[in-house]
Amino acid sequence: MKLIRAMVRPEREEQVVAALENAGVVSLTKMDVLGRGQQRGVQVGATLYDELPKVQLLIVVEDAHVDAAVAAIEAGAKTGQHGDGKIFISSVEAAYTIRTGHRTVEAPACHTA
Amino acid sequence: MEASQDLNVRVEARREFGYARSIAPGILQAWNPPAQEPVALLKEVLAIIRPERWHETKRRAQRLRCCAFTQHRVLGRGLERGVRMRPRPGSASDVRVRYLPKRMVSWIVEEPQVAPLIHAIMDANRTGHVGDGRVFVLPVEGVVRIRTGERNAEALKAQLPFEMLWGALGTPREGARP
Repeated sequence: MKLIRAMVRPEREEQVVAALENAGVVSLTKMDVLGRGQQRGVQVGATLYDELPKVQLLIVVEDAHVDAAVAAIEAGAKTGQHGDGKIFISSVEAAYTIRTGHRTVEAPACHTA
Repeated sequence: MEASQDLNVRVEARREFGYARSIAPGILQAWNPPAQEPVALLKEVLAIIRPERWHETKRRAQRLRCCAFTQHRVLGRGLERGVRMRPRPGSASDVRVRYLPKRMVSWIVEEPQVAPLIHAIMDANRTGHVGDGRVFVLPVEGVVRIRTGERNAEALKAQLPFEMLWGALGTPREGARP
């Protein structure tokens, strides 16, 4: 299982979620974050906005679904401009469903945070 | 003549013994290498739980001495894509809530603490209904305590004994904390 953290534009969030849904990844957790990238924010006149609002999506999927999920996020979030965001993938050793108390060995379609 | 030879032999013998004694610790160490300090595996326990169960969860984790955490208010949905409900019994349309408020909590703990902590989290959060949440276990490569520069398991240890900071049952002691 892999944990995918995607930082996307807030205005693109709905498109990303729709694209993920089409790819079969339904469950997700989202949080509002502030961040900046390699460009150190945006310079508008004399003002430097170095903490730009983003939405961070957390998704846990089976290894086999990682590529599809990443492709869906890219498709939904890409504008071609700086600030489209990044996707980070890290490994998950175990997942437990609290309601049943069982360790999830193989996630059905897609599982999530 | 004999006496001096005898003396020479004795001197040699003493030299050899001294040499043997000087290298003995090295030989002994090579034969019995000191036990290596076991490297503690660190794990992140990431739980996404009902917001109203958070304080109970925190209390339960404290009893297991997992006192340090990071928590965040998040929105999420599971395989059910949120919830649907009738605003009034006779109303024609459903109200759809796409994202539900959840609490995301992260503990960084040593490997032996993972199983009891997960058990405590699940026990505190189980209502038996959809939406109880999930717990994930992730590997952690390293930890640094910024104040002292300590690494890994050292960085997670409390500076004071647990009993001084917290009472026996995980309740804060008078005067121990501001």
